[in-house]
Amino acid sequence: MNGCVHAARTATIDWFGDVLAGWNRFWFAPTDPATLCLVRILGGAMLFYTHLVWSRDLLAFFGPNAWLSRDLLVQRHEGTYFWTVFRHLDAPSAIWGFHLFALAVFFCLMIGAFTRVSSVLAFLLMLTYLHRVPTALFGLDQINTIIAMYLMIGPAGARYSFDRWWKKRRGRIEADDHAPIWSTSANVALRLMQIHMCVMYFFAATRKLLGASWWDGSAMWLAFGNLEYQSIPMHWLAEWPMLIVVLSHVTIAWELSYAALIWPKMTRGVMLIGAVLLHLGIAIFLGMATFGLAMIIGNLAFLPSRFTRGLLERRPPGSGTRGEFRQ
Amino acid sequence: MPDKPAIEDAATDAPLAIRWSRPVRVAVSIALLIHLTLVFCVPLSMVEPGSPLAGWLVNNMRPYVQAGNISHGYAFFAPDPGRWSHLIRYKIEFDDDRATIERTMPSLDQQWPRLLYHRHFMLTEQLGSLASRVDELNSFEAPAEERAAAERELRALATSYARHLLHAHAADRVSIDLVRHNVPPYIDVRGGRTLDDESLYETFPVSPLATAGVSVERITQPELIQAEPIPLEEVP
Repeated sequence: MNGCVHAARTATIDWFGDVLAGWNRFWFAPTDPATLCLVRILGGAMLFYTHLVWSRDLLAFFGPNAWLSRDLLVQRHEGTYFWTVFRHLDAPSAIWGFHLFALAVFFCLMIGAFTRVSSVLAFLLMLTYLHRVPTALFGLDQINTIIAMYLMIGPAGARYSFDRWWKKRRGRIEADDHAPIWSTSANVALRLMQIHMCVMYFFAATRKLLGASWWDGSAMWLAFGNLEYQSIPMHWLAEWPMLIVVLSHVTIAWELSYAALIWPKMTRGVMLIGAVLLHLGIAIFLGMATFGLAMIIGNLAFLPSRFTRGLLERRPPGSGTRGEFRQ
Repeated sequence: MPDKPAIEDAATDAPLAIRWSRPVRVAVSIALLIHLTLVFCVPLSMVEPGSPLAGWLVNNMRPYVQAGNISHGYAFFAPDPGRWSHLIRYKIEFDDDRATIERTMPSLDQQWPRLLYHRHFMLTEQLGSLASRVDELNSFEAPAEERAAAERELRALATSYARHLLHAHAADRVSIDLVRHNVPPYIDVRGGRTLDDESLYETFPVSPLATAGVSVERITQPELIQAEPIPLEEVP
């Protein structure tokens, strides 16, 4: 009897030990921040473009007499923790000055200049824009939030950046750009981005399952047949009803299985190809190029850093003489 | 317990031991658990009828959820893609000799690039969703207070848009019609019906604000000056 108790106790302790070790490996094993830096370049470019487009009609959305009036915004924000600098800016010159400053910050993030500071500023600035225009937001702003939030955490400027180039120029680091860099916070940032993507697709799928059109397969017609969304004529799809059904079911199946199949190496590639096809489809056919591309950028968090380095660097990854540690 | 080698994609010549101290790892782990719990609970609390537990957690962490903009349900084209989209048609009039302006929004001719068009589209969709909410509440005779709140919310947003147009054009009068553009069944399209067939557009009556229908607003500059903020009781 004592032997059984002892064996059970040992097995339980071992199990908890394995879980703890797995947790530590998952979150706290250092990784090369190449993938995080790639997400920074593309995510920073998307943030820059998203906010650059506001320039075309800045005062109509952020001025004192905007589409959503300041009175109504204040009422909406009452008792909440939404906040925006634009509530306090009246003069067009002040609004434009602030906007130009924000664009400069997003540009710095994109090129990796002063990245630690610019990444935090970019996130805060993005929030102040979003909270001023709640009636003009859509999925793009949600994925922008995810990307900007986690870029703050890791060393997103460690590679392919102005910061890196400047350090080399000043002789603070060796000119060998191919030595590995090891960073724990890069891993934390990427893991958070990966899990957030899984949560997003999980709820995107499960909430669709509450709708009849995703079950009868007509959902994709409702999306493609909506003239206000279309960016190219899609009426021809009406001649292919089974294609509509297949597209509806494949979308649900892909989104529903994403959180499980994106992790194993064997299925990750297929899921990423699926992500590119799905979101390119949204970008090309449904008039939401920015949203489609931003979702693809979010999916890049799953690229192994060796793969990213192989993609972006001429010399094979890991060929440097010694590595560099970062927090 | 010895730290095991790290993740699969690390280069082979690297020292892969876990480098953060145990106290740091514990503190970061707690922060990660709280953050990810909220990331999961926010959409969970939004699914109808919504989890009370998730709702309670999110409600108690509102400062973090709202200020950090993680308050999203990720309901892309869910539960169903809309069976219609909403446009607004507005008419701007002047007391001087300027010509009356009549436009439809969103418009690919007026709003460029596409992202700006989509921002305007979301403005009209917001108004449309409030109007649909009023319709829905009226259809099953919801409590009067709930219906009144929904109508006030609709009226407030329509008034806000009207005020913007008045100011942007230095105009004297503006009226806004909400237009519902229905998506035809694909069988109809196979039969030759076009997606912009006139019969697919429903325009809701102009002035005064329809209680059983969709918003319509007609305001003038004197009304604008006298206008008081319209209280909103329940804004999501």
